[in-house]
Amino acid sequence: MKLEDARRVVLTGLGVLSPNAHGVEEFEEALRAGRSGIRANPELTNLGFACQVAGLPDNLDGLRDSYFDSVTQLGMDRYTVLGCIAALDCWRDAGLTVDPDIPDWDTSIVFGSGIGGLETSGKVLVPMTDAGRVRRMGSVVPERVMASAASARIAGLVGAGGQVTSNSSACSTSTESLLLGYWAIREGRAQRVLAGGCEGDSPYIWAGFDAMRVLSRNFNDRPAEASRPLSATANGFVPAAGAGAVMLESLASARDRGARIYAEVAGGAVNCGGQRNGGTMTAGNPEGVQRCIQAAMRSACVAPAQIDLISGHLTATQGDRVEVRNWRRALCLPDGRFPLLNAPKSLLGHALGAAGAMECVACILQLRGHFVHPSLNCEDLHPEIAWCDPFIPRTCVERELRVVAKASFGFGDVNSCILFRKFNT
Amino acid sequence: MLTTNQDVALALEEIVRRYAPKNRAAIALQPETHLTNDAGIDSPRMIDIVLGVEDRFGITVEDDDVQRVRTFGQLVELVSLRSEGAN
Repeated sequence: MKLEDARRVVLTGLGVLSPNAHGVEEFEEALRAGRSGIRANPELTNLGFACQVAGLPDNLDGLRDSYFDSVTQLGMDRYTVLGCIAALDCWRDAGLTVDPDIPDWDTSIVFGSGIGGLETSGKVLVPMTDAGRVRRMGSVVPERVMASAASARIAGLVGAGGQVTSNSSACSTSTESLLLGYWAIREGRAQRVLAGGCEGDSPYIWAGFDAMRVLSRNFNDRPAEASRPLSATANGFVPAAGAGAVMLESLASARDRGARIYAEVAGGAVNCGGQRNGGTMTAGNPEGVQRCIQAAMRSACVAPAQIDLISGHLTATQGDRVEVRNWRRALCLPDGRFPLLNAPKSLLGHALGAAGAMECVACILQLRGHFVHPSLNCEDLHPEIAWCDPFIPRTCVERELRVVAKASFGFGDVNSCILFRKFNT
Repeated sequence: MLTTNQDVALALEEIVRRYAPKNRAAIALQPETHLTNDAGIDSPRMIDIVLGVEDRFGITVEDDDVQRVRTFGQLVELVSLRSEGAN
């Protein structure tokens, strides 16, 4: 085995359960078609939310019943259900099998969430505690609400025997998950890491954001138009639920078992703007964002001009303009030159801690399939970023891609940026 | 009203199967069946079974009594005893 092969990290499996698709094939087709997963949400209307649209995976209850028996379901909050479906799909997509008796000592799990099992907290834990009925609560609340619920459940389903952990860094969570897995393999601590993130579909998760007036509210009668990153009429993000999972693997391990390789992780970085110089709990310090992007490029030995596509964080808030400006300053390319830029949340909405992983799956599929998915609802580009109009595809573009950059930013002024490269032997 | 141990056993069988792992769901529940070793019921699930029992029989089962239960037969005996008391 070449030492280099042990340190190179490739992607050998994908799983996704998103508002517009379930599974890799369906997801690629939805991305190419620019299919929105945003729908009217009567529950939010009944609850008096200003935002009455959301992105939810179709038929989640039916999928849950087909993937998990009733006893297993007892211990799963809905966000864990989403994560486990994507993780099992990813496991199978990677060509791995599940041994009922022997742990897979070479595989780790890093699977995060921004919020976690708030549905169980809201519907069971808090009401029963407040009513003085703790004795009647039942045994499953801890395993449903613990911060590591998703990674722990996935570990049991597949028999992972390496490190099993859940990270959380708000909307940066699951891009960070991939990087934590990438570094674990680079350091020789794992041969494979199943990494990703999941976020549930509970109004309890979204209520605080509606209260902050950061959710979309002006397009309730036109759900597919509600998520408008980069647009002059953007009016907040559309809440969403979902999960994304990837199998990161050392090139040596992938070669040993003859695994199919989607792409390679070229490098990446995470940091925090320190909530200084414009950075706050809810806004990014521009210098922190730019440093993160530049550190990711250095780690990947990639020059700005080599990036073919940026998959932006771009949530449809005021932050979009700042993000585009940060990319421009971080890349420092001559006027008239810029990578293509698309906004996956225009199709998916914003699934918080699951967003990065779903969007990374989208990046890998674009890299493999030589296409760039359209950005919806930005025909009326915000005037401050009019200069980047030629770089934003409104229809699917067929193009050979070599390097794709994905960034995610989160409350707490935290940033993550990962670069994927077309795999070359 | 459940009056015989057999009636109690039938009702308990349904409750225990609700919480048994899928790979043990078909096991025959005999008086000597060990709830943990044979039926795969761990201690958290035992709590859920007891709550199911309390709902089904309208009784309260003390935690100390539950901790002494090892077999299906002992569970039937405990619930029968409590049910008689409730009647």
